[in-house]
Amino acid sequence: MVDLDFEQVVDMHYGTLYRFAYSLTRNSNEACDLAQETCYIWATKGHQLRDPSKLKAWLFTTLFRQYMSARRHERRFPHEEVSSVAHELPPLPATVVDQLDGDTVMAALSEVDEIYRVPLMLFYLEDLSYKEIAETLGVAIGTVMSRLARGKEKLRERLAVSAQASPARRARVIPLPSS
Amino acid sequence: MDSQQARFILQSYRGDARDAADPHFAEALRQADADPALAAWLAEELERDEAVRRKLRAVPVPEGLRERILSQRPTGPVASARSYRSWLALAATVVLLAAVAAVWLGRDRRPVDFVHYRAQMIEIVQGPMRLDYRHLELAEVQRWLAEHQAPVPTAIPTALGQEPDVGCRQLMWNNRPVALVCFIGRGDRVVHLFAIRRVALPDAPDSAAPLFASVNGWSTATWTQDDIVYLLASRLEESALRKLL
Repeated sequence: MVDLDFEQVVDMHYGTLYRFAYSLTRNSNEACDLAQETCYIWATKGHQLRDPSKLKAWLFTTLFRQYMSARRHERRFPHEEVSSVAHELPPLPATVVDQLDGDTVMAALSEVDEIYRVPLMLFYLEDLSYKEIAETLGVAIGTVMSRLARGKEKLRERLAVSAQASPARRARVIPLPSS
Repeated sequence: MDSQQARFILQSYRGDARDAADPHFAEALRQADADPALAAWLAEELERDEAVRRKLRAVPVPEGLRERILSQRPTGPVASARSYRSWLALAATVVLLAAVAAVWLGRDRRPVDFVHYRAQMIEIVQGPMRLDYRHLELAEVQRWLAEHQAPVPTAIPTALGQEPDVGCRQLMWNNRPVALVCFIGRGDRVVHLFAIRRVALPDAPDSAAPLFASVNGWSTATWTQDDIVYLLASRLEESALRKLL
């Protein structure tokens, strides 16, 4: 049994839970509700968790399930076979990403289809491994790897567009060549 | 495995020791070692991932959310989350007023003592964790921490300082910076060293000699030197930890 104080768990995870929820709902109020509900469920059912190292995955799994439940049209993600990314990703140096603000990056991510957005958020936001993401979403490991690869491609395309549109970038950076 | 397949696999790679040991990535990483173009691509990919990660983690959280969540800690029978929300709005209002009053009175009820600090630091290293910087030389890690205004752990036991691989991460605890240095030894043995300025932890043991304790299955040692409180934590047995000090 995990013996963690409720307040400690909240302090350590409420921010990332909110950001994950925000990436799902694209609505601050709904994201707050989801983060709150998740912590509430932890307070009432967290004692069932036996392995402390699974806490983060447990919280994100719970939040994701709450989100899916609230949507009321639970469509299961279609299974995808592992496959290679077919074409080169658009060039986007980290320095260009650094010039964007967090809201812009989040907005770009929000434009990515949910099927890719969810594993990307778990990968970026809470450093979950592909195995933990698979466990959280209840999908095959190969599917997660495929979604991460494709999701990164889609995110990069949108970030490149955001970077072109960014006033700071227009002023200081040479536009990216089209690939 | 060709280069394209290696790229596909490495898109799920987080770029640190946790994944490097994963057989799923091993062959792709070996290929990157032998293929300069693939290595360059991987370096760029990891750098971009880190930039995206930093940006997403910088998205602000609405003010008051923490207090709102803490206010809902159940004390009685479990109600459904949905029904709970109906009275939660009223409760939130009350708690908001209470929070304002607490701030006004200068009271912060969050536990900020050494015991909670130690428990929270151990909790951090219990799960998957990202390192901000990694280098084979401890001095380089110390330099990186100094550049980032983190407490710099200088009282490193000699045996520990000879571990072959070192990484670090910046943390915040009670709005105070904490440096976490991870010493990665042979056989994936990891020892974590936390450093926080003494002023942030006034009730920490004021002892230059390490004090040992077992916390949730972790062996820990604590000592204070040069106004820095050190906390060493590892899954190693206490006897093995003592040999490193």
